[in-house]
Amino acid sequence: MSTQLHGDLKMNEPDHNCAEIEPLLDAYHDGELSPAERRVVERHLTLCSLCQARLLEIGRLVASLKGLAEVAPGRDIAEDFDALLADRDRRKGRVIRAYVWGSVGIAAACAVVFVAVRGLPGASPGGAVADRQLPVQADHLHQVGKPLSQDKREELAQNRPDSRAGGTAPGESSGRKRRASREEPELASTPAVPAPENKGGQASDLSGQHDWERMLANGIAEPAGPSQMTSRAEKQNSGMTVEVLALSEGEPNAITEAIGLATDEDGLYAIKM
Amino acid sequence: MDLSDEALIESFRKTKDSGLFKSLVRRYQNRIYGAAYRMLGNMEEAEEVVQETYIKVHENLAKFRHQSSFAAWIFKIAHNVCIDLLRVKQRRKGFHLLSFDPQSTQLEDESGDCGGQVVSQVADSKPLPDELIDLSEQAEVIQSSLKELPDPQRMVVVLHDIEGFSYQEVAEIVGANLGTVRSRLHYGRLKLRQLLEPYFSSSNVYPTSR
Repeated sequence: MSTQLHGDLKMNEPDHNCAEIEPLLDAYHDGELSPAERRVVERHLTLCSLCQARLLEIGRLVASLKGLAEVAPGRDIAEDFDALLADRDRRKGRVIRAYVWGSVGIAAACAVVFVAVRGLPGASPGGAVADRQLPVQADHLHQVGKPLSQDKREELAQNRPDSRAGGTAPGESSGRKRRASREEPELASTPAVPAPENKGGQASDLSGQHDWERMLANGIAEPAGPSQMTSRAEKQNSGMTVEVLALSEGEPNAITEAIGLATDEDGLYAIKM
Repeated sequence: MDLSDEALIESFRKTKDSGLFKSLVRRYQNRIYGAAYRMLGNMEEAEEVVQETYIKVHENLAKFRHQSSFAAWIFKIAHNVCIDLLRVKQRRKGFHLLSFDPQSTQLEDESGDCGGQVVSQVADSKPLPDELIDLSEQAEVIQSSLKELPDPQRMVVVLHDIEGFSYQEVAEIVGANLGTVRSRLHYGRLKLRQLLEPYFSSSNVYPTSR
């Protein structure tokens, strides 16, 4: 039979149908083809000895696989099933405990971080409010960043508090903004932070009292949000500046040198290593 | 008189007698162990699969709705346990995780290409083709050749050719459609024939159309 197949193989080259029939041979062998598919395969098999040989090989392989000796466990696993379940319950309990304690630990860590963040000097309890009003703040900065006319610059230079030269005066930006909205029509069209109510009906430049001073006197009547935050931050900044100035003016070189600081004529500090 | 699987399940549901449950799973103990061993190639892992399957069957027996045979249902659970183990093993080895997506036929389609490499690897590490082998060696060679198959193909070959499930049952167990099962079985067998050809073929030339 083998010799005869060999002879046929040499005579019959694979025809174009073999590629289509070959994938069906396994299902044909297993009896899993539809009647129509079965007829096509059988018709091809009567003509193609190559596919006949393949079908024989499939049969031999399947017989080898089915003939494999049964593999059995060395013991009756079902007998230990009760112990297996108990062990499983114990392990489950351990996992649940680990999850519970892990969650408690994470919650505690979050609480500590939250408290620490709230306690920071720069942190604001109204942080969420500040976030919501961020676009307004950006708009405000946009207005402040616009180039001023020569007249405006002179006016600002006159109004600048000389005693705190070099530091940013609190409320300065809102003062600029208010004047800009009054004197520059193109700026008035852009949305601005609502101006604080001007108590007494006096214009800031007429009263001779600066906006930031009046704000402090009035208990900061600025709208809540970024302007208020800015004022607070600027107050802190200006306080730090005053502190540094007092140190450098009141205790010239002796103290600064004692703590390792030296200043040149331009006021630049250097740390002695 | 032996009760059917369904009758045993009903009795266990009513009485919660662990003896009935053990009788039920004991019927499939050797088959599940054997299939797991053919899949994983490791006796300890095969025993682990049996134990895990017992526990899952115990936990989910209430969900069994008799839509398929109990045998197919319990083998589906065992199959999933095997897949989980294989994934863990492959992750440990750092190999690329094989996909069990039923629509994925890349491995099957390319089996002709990678089969040649596997053939040469197995052939190099095994006795010469002309050497005769006895039955125990034959079983060893088949087992080692099975290991060379991609996991989805090996699973289908084991379930159909060794465990005797029909195509429909295999499709239910592995969660694939009939066409995918047919394709996996075809390419799995084709590769096995190539791997085993030096040992079992009557001629040294195995005809293929590729």
